Parts: sequence; C-alpha cells; structure tokens
Amino acid sequence: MINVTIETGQWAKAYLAERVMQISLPQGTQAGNLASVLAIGEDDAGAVIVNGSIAKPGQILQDGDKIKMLASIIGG
Amino acid sequence: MIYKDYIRVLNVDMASERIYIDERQDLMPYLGGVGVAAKLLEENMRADLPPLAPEQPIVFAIGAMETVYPVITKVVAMFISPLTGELGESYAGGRMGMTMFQAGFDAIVITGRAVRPTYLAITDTDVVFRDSRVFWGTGSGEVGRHIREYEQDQGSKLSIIRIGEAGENLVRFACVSVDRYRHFGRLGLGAVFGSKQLKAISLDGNRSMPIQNYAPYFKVMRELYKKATESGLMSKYHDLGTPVNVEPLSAIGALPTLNLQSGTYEHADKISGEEFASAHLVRKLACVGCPVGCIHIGSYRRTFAEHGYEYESVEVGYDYELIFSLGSYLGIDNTRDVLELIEEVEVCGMDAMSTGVALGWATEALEKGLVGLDDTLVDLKFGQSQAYRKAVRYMSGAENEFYRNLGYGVKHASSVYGGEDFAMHIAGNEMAGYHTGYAAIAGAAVGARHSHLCNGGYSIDQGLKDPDIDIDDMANAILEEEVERNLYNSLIMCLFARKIYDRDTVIRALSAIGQELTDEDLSAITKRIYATKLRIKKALNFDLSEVRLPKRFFETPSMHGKLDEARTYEIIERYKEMIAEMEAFT
Repeated sequence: MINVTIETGQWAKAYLAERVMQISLPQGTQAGNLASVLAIGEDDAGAVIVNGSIAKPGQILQDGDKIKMLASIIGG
Repeated sequence: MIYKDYIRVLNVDMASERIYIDERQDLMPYLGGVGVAAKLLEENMRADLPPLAPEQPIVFAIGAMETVYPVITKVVAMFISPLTGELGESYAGGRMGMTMFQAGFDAIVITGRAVRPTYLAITDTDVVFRDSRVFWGTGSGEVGRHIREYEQDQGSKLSIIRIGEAGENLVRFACVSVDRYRHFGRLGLGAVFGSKQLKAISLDGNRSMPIQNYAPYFKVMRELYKKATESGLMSKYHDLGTPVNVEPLSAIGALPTLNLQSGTYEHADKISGEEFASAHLVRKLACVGCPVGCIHIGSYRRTFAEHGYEYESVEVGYDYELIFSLGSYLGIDNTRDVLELIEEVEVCGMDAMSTGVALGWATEALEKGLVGLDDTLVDLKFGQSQAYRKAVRYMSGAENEFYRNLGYGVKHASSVYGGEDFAMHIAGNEMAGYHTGYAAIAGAAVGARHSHLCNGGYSIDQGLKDPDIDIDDMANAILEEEVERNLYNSLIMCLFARKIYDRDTVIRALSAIGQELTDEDLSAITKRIYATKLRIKKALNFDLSEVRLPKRFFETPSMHGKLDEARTYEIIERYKEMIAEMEAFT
C-alpha cells in the first residue's frame, strides 16, 4: 500500500468526508483510475494533479504523493 | 402547440403598429423552438439587405414542450446577426417561455422600425405599442423596474425583455436582458432591437396548462422531476454551478488567459467557483419550470456618495463564461473586481464574452502601439479593472471612432487597426472560454451560429483519450452533435438537462401531451431544421472555406498541446464536404 494526500473541493462532498485527506491506496494505482478507486462518479471527477503537475496517461501514484483532484468541466 | 396541429404566430410590424395572427399547420414538421424560428426567419429575412435594415425580422419561438416538463425553460431568438452578418440564434430562460405560452403564442415575428422609441406590451388579449421615449438612454435594469411598475396590474409573473444603452447605440454584440438575470447574450440581438427603436417587450397571459390526460403526463413528469432533482445529474449545476470550471480548465491549460496568451491563469484559485461562493454567493435562482436553480447570485457592497458612510449592496448573476471573459481573459485576479465588471456590462447591455474578448484585444493593440491612448482614452492594462470599467462605458456609448469600431467586434476592429493574429474570434463571433483543442475551434467554426454550444466541441475534446483523432471521425462527431442539438433546441430544454432527456424519454413526453412521433420522425426533424439553417447561411453568402482563424489559436498550447493549423482547416473542409447534400433535406 502507499499513502497519499488527496485534496478535493466542495464538488466532492458527496464522496469524501474531508477536503484534504490522507488515504492508503494499493500499489500500482494509476492517477487516471483514482476516481473509480475512490468511487467518485466519472461525470463528477476531472483532472488529477500530482505534486503540482497534471497527471500523464498511465502515471502510477507513488508513496507520499500530494494529489489534487479537480471537478469535471460542466456546461451546455 | 400542445394538443394542437398548428403553430400560432404573432406577427408585429413596428412601423405601422399593426399585428396579425397566423395559425400555421405547415410549420408542424419543424416541431417548435429553433425549428419553427429557423423556418420563419428563412421566410421573412431579406438576404439582399444589411442585418440592421428595418425589414429584417426578429423571431422568437417557444418549444414543443415549453414549461410543461422540468427544465424545458428556454426561448429561442433568431435574426440576422449584425456581428457576423449571417445566422443569428440565441437562447434565454427566465419567465419568458412561460409568459409566451400563457399569452398563447408559439412564435412572434417582429419587423419594421418604430417611428419613436417603443415598447411592446403583449398579453393573451392585446398587443399595445407604448411610447418609450422616456426610457431611451436608461440602463437595462432601470427600464425593467419602470415597466414592471407600469404594467403591474398584469401580475408579478410578467416577463420583461429589454436593451440597455449598447443596443440603442447599435453595438454589434449588444444583448437583450430577460427579466433580471437571463440574456439573449450572443450575436447582437440587442442591436437589432435598437435598429427598430424597440426598447423592450413585456409579456404576460392567463392561458392555463391544457393537460388532457393526466395519468401518462404525470408518469413522465414525475420520472423527469426525479431525474432532475435526485439522480445527481443536475446537482453540480446547483452547487457551485459552472464557475466550478475555472480551476480545472486552468489546470489542464484550457482557460483563456490574457487574451489567450496562455491557457493557464496563475490566479485561477482567486477567481474560482469556490472563491465566488464563499465570498459573495447570496442566493440561487431558477428559470420558470426548472427544479434545479443554477443561477448564482453574488453580492458586493459599494459606496454611492463621495462623503460619509453611504453604501448599497449590489447583486450580480455570475457564471463561468463571465468569469473567464471578464476575469482571466483580462488578468483580473479577484472576485470583487470581476463582479463589478459584470455589473457594468450588465447595465450597458452587452454580451459579456464579446466584451471581454474585445477588451483583451484592445489591451494588446495598445501595448503594441497599433492604437494610442487618444483612441482608448484610458490606459488599458491587464489586471486594471477600473480602466476596463471605463472602457465598457466608452464602448457602450460609442464614445469615439475607436470604440465605435471596437463595438463592431474584434474581427472588424483588427481589420481597421491591425492585430488580426490576436483578435480572438471565430467567423466573427468572439471566442468562448474553452481552449480545449481541435473540436472546440473547428466546432465553433462550422457551428451554425459559431457558438461553443452549437455542437459542444469543447466537450468532444475533453472526452478524447488520443488527441490525434482521425479527421473524418472528428468532423463526424461534431456533425452528429450539431444535428442532434436541434432536437433539444426545438423542445426547448436547457442544455444542462440534455442527459435526462434521452430519445425514448422525449418520445414518451411528447406522446403524453398529444404529439405522437417516432424515433425516425425526430431524426428527420433534426435534419430538416439543420437544412433550414444551412439554406439561410447560404443565402447570406456564408462559405466555410473563407473562415480564417487567428494565429494565436495555434501558438498558445491547448489542453492537448499546440494545435496544428492545417489540421484544423482540414477538419473544417471535411465537415463542409459532409454537409454538402444536407441543405436539400425537406
């Protein structure tokens, strides 16, 4: 398991208890799969920022990563 | 049109102050909304005359399910756009759809120029041409308050649509304000009002909802209401609303910033949806018939006298597009200044997106010496909101030659002063707030009205796993969405609700109010409407091959990196080939 810090916003209140949380994830978790691992609706979760940079396709999360999950983009 | 086999059209001639009413069975194949409006525009427009000629029509239409089901809230306006010189199409919510329905009109066609400033008072029993010389020169909010007081015997549900100073001065991107917080924003309907000396329209009526068979109606109604309120599909529009987009778009490099010199704004967190909510949000409103409530109202306090402690609170509607265009695009890094700018634009009655993009271009044109301080009158600099507030007033008032040219849009202004490479328009319409990739740019170029909402190109970009998508696939994805949206816009639903209205639901909903249509019928209707729009554009001499995009779209990296200019034009050309046969569809 790895331990990471995840920061979200008000948009994620239906899924996560706190806006900033420390959580454990299985080794090998990809940034792109984080929403499904945390059971966050695909329509609600948007870009994932890892240590200040937008996650690349297939990027594996590492122990100690600071992650910011952004809302999906909405509109007409 | 509910339970009827005809479309009831109110025709108004402003010059002679005469009206007549048609009951048109032949319009039923266009369903309602944009379909009916497009056909009426095609019939009434004069392709040989300029957009602001008195003969040119303004067409309003409500949808086939207007107000009867949840989130079916919009009215469409169609006209010849004075900004682009071709098809004008714009949508607004508020109370207007309900009041048109209750007045008994599915569509309204307005032609001619009034002999004096006039406002129309339309009810189910009368149409009155009221002298409004006293209102000429007043802001859109003020005129609305006066008309409400004057027409108050009609009741509080009255809908009032009106223009501000920009419309009177024929600013080509002047908007029409609907009630307090909604707008026909894009493409200059306000200038068309101004050209007819039409200051405002008040609408009301007492017609009731003629539901005939309650059991099937309530079954569908309850299902839709539940989806809208309980499924989570709509809650994000209520919670933070579209301002939630500011931070994610900046993070992925798609937030137009400093006249699109960048797709990332270093101060995005200071003008984010959460920042607006925590600092200013005081209430949320809904259009009539919507259980969601996505209209976010922010409040700030300002002084109204130079001495003493004299304060008033100002309430302003805000959403993502306004925050991008009057925030990141101009380098404004705090919520209070953005709200003040929104309020200024609101009072003057201009489209916020075009206004912000015009000011962004003017700022760079001044920096680069293409224009001077004697043109701009104020020292326009990114981040300087007070200078921008003055410039908004100058533009709205057509203060000098420079602001008159700027009020024609950035395509025109850059043709006069130079700076075409950073005049951020697509086919004459100032860009929207999504620098997401090929589909956003090509989609707006090929879109019937050159709006990001024609086919949601930005949404197509976001769904792409591989940005190097096949050109045919992308052109096809844009075309499919462009055509399908004619169904949503003929009903007319708020596009936020499109996920709760799938085809099967639409068929059952129409059936419950007396319109039996099949899936094939709906497909034919969408193509018929699109074909009508294509014929209008052709009559107005629009040619996709002549669209030229500013270089900056290809210099500033999008969320998918730098875009290839040639590839973008290839998508546009492929789309043109795909639609070549469609305009003959009847």
